[in-house]
Amino acid sequence: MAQHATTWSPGAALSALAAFAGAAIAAILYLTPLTGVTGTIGALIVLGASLLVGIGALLLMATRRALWLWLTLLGGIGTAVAAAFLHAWWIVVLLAVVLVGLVMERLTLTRSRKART
Amino acid sequence: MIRTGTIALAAALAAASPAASQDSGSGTAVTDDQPATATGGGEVVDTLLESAADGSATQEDRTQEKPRRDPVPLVPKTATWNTFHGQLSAQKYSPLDQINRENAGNLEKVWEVHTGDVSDGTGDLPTTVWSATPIYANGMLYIGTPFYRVLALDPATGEEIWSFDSKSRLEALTQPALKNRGVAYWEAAEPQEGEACQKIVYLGTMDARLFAMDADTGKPCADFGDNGALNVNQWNTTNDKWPFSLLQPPTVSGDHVIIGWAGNDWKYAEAPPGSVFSVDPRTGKLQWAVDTIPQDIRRQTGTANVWTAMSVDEELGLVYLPVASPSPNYWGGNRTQEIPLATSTTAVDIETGKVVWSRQWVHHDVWDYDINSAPTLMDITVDGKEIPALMQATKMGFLFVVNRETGEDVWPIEEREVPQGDGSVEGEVYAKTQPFPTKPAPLLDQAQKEDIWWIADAVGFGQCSKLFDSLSYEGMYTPPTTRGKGVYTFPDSSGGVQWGGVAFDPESQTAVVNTSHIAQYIQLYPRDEFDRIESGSGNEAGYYPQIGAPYGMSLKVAMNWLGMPCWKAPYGELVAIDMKTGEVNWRKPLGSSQKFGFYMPESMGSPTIGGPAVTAGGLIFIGSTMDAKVRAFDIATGEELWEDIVGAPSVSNPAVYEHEGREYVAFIGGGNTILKPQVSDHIAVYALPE
Repeated sequence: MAQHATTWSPGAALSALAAFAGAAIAAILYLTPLTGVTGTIGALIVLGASLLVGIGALLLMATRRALWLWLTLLGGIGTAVAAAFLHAWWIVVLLAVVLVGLVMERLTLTRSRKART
Repeated sequence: MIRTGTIALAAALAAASPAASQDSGSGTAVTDDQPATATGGGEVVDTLLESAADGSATQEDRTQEKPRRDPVPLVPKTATWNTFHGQLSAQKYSPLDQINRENAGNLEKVWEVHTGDVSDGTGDLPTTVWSATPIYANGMLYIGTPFYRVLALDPATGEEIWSFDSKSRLEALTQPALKNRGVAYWEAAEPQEGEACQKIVYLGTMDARLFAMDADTGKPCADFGDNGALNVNQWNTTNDKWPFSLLQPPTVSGDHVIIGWAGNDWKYAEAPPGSVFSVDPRTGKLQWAVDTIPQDIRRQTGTANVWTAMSVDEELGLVYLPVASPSPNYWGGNRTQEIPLATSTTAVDIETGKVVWSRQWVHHDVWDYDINSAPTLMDITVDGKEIPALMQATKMGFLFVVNRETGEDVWPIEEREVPQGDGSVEGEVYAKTQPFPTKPAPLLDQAQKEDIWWIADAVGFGQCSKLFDSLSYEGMYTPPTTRGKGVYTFPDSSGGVQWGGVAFDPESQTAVVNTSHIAQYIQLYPRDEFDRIESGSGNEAGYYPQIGAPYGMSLKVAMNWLGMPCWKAPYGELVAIDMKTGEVNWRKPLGSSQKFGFYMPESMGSPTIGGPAVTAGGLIFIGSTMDAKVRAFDIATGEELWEDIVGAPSVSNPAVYEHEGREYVAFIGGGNTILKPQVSDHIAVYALPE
């Protein structure tokens, strides 16, 4: 565990940053007049879901456990779909970045496992 | 018995024994010394009805003494947007072409105003429903608000020039919300220099007062009514269970301010009977009244009122009344007699108030198919023949086209046999036939139940299938029932077409109309059962008592537990019709449905409330959709050219005007809880960059 936590994981960091950026955009959409989703439950859901995705990525970064990778991936896909229904295209783009980060992280994990064996 | 349709002027007047005149609805002229603010209005109206019987009309003598004004042509020579529907013809047409299909994509918001007059219903005030269209007149933009104020704004900047507060009671006295559809404007044919109130703005209120204020200053016109406010409720003398709510601005033509009113739908069997009043624009004195329900049955029923806009052909001297259904709306056992003017388009002589012709669009209406928009007046060329026509859009999605001089068909309107019910409702005598237009084709296919949307059905675990199975339906005009979950309607009160009506481009002779596809269902409940199960009502949905009838009722939209519609898309469309042939040029889903902020695909469309405007620039401007977007389309192809978002669904017609050489398009984003619980106080005005 400690060995994993001290390893730099750029993929997970990218995912966390992108997810939090998505949450920030969702907050702006929720609070700014005339976004089309101002004050809606949908915008709040995407805001909350983006935060959870970001937290998942942080946990992945901290623990390097595949469980967090898969949970973050599922959350990211679901949040992207929800954001698409909000017509929040920048959030969709950021969640695509989250997925890229997760793929990077997956590759890193695979390489490190191979190295250990 | 006037089941088959037209009441031609000559026939009606020639046959007009007093009784016949009353049966077909009475138009009644009164003399100048009729007090405008008389207390004891019952005597006033009774006197009117007596003079109706002898067909007397004294208006002509009086009007001859006044300055004559040239009748406004059907298509005004200059850009005009000084009434609710832009022009008295209700064409919603602007000859302006500065904004056109080539540059519409460059439109930008040049100013916006939040009036502050908004309530979402969570506080002390009822929710607001704001369906006003701004009017451009006297070099200003005039707007009424749902708090019953008037704003006069600089058309170029939105800066307030003056405001007027009626200090009206902000209570939902008749409607479930504070509603306003704007203001009306009049100006004297020969204004007197230095005199006030040569130009007047009129504002109606929920509590039945019509305010008149100087268009230059906003100060009350002291000569009008009681120091600037006319108590229209003085004429509410039969079954006066509620005040005459003046939510729709009056129709102003020449020296006539013509007033309809709204009431409390679905609550009572016996209600105020429908009436339309014409008053003097300067004084508010009653000129004439039209009663839409025959004298002998006025007390046992009610409504058949005119709550929406009217249209006027000043060259013919006719005002066209879109008349609503009688009360109670979903049971007709108390009104089995003929009510020929109910659910009709009725042409009335604007000087005398006499009915010239009338076409009833639903016989013995038990579906609340109010005629809910001003008929659109249009000159069309059919088979090489020029016809002065009128198109009446309806909640049913039927577009009836008749000659506006005579009321005769342009394309055949057929009386067809309709379902006669399942025998579960006592006291009913259903109409054997109903009128069906052959052209244009109905905007909705009502032959059978719509297909079920499988996703909504799956999400509801079969809820939609079970609901549809339990609804009876034998085709259009299947009567309400007590059995199962009730009767399916497609649509009922949600339309079809709402008060935005039909726009018309006189150059290409193209009619443009937005329509909703909404599956609803009506159920009747015997009184004792209703009293047990009643569980509240919303805006045009829920449980309503029909007090005085043996049945209460419910009206619901067919949805699953999550609020997803049970029927297949589209849920709303924009349609362009070639009025030379009656054929559809194009139709396409309009806007996006939205729930919790999530948009459905635009291919599914949105239910629509509000209406279009068209311009000589080849454009259609329209809001009307759940997504609160306002859009511009190419009238020739239906291609979307521009869109923006306003504060809430724009449930009115936009206004198109020119001020100091620049063309503007104004939308009001007011919202309507029928669409979704999003309301606003937003005025947004667009123009091309300078």
